[in-house]
Parts: sequence; C-alpha cells; structure tokens
Amino acid sequence: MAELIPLLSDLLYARCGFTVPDGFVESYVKLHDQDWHRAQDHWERVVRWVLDCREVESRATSRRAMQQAVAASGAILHLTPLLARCPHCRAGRRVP
Amino acid sequence: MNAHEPVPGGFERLCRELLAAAYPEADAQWLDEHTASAVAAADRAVALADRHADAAREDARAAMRDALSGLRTRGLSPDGPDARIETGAIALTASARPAGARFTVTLRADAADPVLGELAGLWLTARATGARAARLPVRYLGELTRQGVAVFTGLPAGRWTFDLLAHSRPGAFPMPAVETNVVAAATGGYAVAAPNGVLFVLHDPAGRAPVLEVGGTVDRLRVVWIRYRDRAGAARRLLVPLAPRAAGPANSRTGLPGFSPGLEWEAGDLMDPADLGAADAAAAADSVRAAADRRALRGWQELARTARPEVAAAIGAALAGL
Amino acid sequence: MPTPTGEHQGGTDLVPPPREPLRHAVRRRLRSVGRHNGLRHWLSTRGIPVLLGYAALFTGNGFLIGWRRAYDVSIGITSPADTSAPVPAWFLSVAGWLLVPGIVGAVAGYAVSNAITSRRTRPLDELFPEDDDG
Repeated sequence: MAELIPLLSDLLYARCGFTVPDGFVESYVKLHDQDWHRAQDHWERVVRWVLDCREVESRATSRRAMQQAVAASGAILHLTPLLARCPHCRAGRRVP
Repeated sequence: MNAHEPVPGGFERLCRELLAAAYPEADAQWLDEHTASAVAAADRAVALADRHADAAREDARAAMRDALSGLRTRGLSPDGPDARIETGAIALTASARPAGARFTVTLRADAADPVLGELAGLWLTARATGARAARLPVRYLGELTRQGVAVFTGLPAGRWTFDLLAHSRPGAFPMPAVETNVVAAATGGYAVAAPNGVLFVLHDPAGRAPVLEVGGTVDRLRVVWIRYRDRAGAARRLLVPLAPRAAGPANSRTGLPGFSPGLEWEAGDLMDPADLGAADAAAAADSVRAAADRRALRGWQELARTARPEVAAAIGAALAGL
Repeated sequence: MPTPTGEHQGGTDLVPPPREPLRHAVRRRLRSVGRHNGLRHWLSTRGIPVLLGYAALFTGNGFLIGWRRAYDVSIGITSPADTSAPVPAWFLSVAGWLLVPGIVGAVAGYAVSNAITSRRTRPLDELFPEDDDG
C-alpha cells in the first residue's frame, strides 16, 4: 500500500512508487550507523512533520500527498547539510 | 511537539528547526541560507515526484487500455462469462453473473502496487452490443476501487465491451464525450447509466439544441447537478430536479445552453434539495430557465417550496419570469 | 503488503534490513494519518480515539457495577449515584449523554457529508482546473 510512510528498505527499489534522491537511503542508513530501526524511526518523524505542516493542495489525494511529502523529506535530508548530521540523533526528543 | 494541525509557512520553519537541531553551533545567517536552499530543493523534488507520478499514471492507463482491448478481442458475453487477459503489467479477470434478467460483470485488475495505486479512481464504461441492445446503446459507468475492482450492475445480455474514460475527478460521475464523428453520432443515441442507477440520455447531442433527459427511481425529491464547458470555454453548472411519480421512474428534461460535443462533462450524485445553498442560487435560476419539460418545471415548483430560503427566492423569481 | 518491484539500487555494502516489528508497523500507520485531509483526518485522530475511550470507560464500569447497570447509566435510565461505584459511573453517564450522541452524530455526519460534500457543488472558479488528474 503506497499510502503509508514507506520503509527505507522499500525505497531502495526503482519502482516503489516514490521519488527520493539517488543514494539517499544508503547514506541515511549509514549516518545512523546502519541501525535500520533508528533510521526508520527518524525518517518517519520527518515525513510525518512534513505531512502535517506542508500546505498540501486540497485536491491532492492521500496517495499524492504522501508522495509529495516523501519527495520533500528526501530532498531536505539529502541535499542540505542534514546529509552529514541527523537532527534527531543529536537533539534527542526535543526535535519535531 | 506533536501538533498535527497544518501550519501555513510551517514547512520553512520545520527545515530551520531541523537544521538548528543538527547544527546547534550555527549562526542565524547560516541557518537562513540553508533553510532557503532546503525549501527550494524540496519544491524541486516535489515537482519531480509529481511528474513521475503523472507518468506512472499514464503508464497505468495505457496498460489498462491494452488489457481492455485484449478483453474486447477475446470477447465477454453470457455464453463466455469468464475471461482472463494478461498484458505486461496487468492481469485482468472478468466474470459475468446473471442477476434476474440482467447481468453483473466484475472486472478485477491485478498489478504490482505502483500500477495498482494509480489505477484506483479510474472510471470505465461497459457497453453491450448485440441485436437486443442496439435500440438504446447505454453505457454503464463503473469505478475502479483501490483494490482494482470495478463492478457493473444491470447490464443487458449481449457482447460486452469496456473502455477507459480519459478523465475523472473525485466526487463526480465522468460522462464520456459526445462523439463529434458524424458516423458515430448517426449510429447511436447517447445514453449513460451511472452506478447509482440514474440514466442520462442526450437527445440531439450534436445538434443546435441538445436536451438532456435524466431518469431514475427516487423516493423523494432529489436534485442532480451537471457540469460542462460551453462553446466559449466557460464552465456551466445546471441542476436537474427529479420528483417521484405515481407510476414509473422519475424523469426530467433540461436544455443545455452552449453545450458542445467533443468535450467531457460531469454529473453528480442524487442530492438532497435541502443541501442547496446560497452558492447554488444562480445555477438554480439558470436551470429553471433551461428546464425543458413540464415534469422538470413541476420539480422546480416543488423545490421553490422546500429549498432553503435563499435558493427558493431565486427559483421563485426565475419561475415568475418564464 | 505488496512488495515493490524494479531494480535494487545500491546498498551492496549495507547490512540487510531487518523485518519490521509489529509495534513499529502500527506506529508507522499512526504516523501516516497526516496524508488525509479534512474529515478523514479528523475521524482518524479525534473520532476514533474518543470512541475507544468511551469503550474503555464502558468496559471498566461494566466490571465494576455490572454490565446491565453500566448500560442503564450510559443511556441515562439510572443515576450514577444509584450504583455501587458512583464516581466512575458518573463519568460513564456524562460520556453517555454528551459524547456518544456527539460521536454518533459526527460519524453519521461524516458518512453523509462525505457522500454529499465530495459530490457537492463547488465555487465556479474551481471548476475544470488544469489539474493533475488528467
């Protein structure tokens, strides 16, 4: 069901239904010392917040909203200085 | 921390908070710069994702069209009520079961998830060809659910063919475009049956004064809205009342000012007249003037009594001006 | 859950991903609620939790004062003061006349307005936009 926040492991496949920057999953998981569960937890928190605070078009379906949120989250985690540091690893529970 | 209410401008704030949490030593200028570039990167990524999703949707539609054309070739009829077509991306199963004098046909599309997700919400039409069906070639609408299933009820016996509608919007029944091809227009009338049992028949669709006949079984006064683009490209909206009759199904006719064939149009579900609001008053007045038979006018008279005051006033004024 | 397809990209030196534990799957589902807008979101985040809370309250009272009395209290036939555990019964009573009609009304309103609103007339300039639904 491509309507839930995707598993990072699923994003490794070309036809997962989502668009993320090349190499994002590998680099994000390595940033978390290859702890998939922790990486997945932090990834979900970012996507959830993007879903909640991004102005999604009212006409977008749930599926399209999730696709947009995943794309935006992948971009900000991979194409900014967040590539090198994870905000959730650093700041514990204070971060959204 | 766990606020779930959408906040305008919140995305930029989120980026900034994430950066600040990851780089507590950074100064405000650094944060501003990188927040701006993060927002820009996200916008580009979303645009790219939309393009990919649109392309995936087109691929899914094309695959569905291939499967439906394969089904057309293979043929589905009461004599051969089951069929399975496998194309590259989709495995389509069709089965027909008798229900009284008519048939219920179920189409099921099996596909890997990205394709299946894009198929959801697409609309199909089913048509029965054959000597008995030729008198009024009705097209039956059916929607593909998220599980990839479309059900058509009330199909008459005959050889069934299916088509994919090019457009669909949530919350409306998409109506196939009227053929502008002279031969096609001459060989058949235009009749579409929506899944809620309402029948839409277009009389003289390519002519100068097309008339839409809406019919169905209703237990009380209901309203159906129609949306189309006129020849000038402006969007038009009309309401059609359906009042129950002593004998037979409800029926109303309305003119369609400016209707031009070749464009898709839409119809809505049966509506409770009490839900018509001030925003509908203008459309209601236009619709009264477009009403094309006595039953429709009687329906409007009843609506003038039962609708909300702001709409009833507009209806009353339009009726008085007729 | 259907598996994604297509070529596997990179990650040859990554440890293989573990299976997702059930509690993580549930948490991921809850976190994905934000993809809905409007009414579906409300139902998932407010409507259902309130309903579950009421069910818990009813069950708790059922064990304390008996199921029949719990029913009577929640629909207002019996005063909570007449039961063996007036305090929890009081909560159940208030929930019964305040929350439950509200929830039932909201669920019914949601179901009906979902059918009506999505087919509802829309402002004229929102018609036929150049949208992505092709």
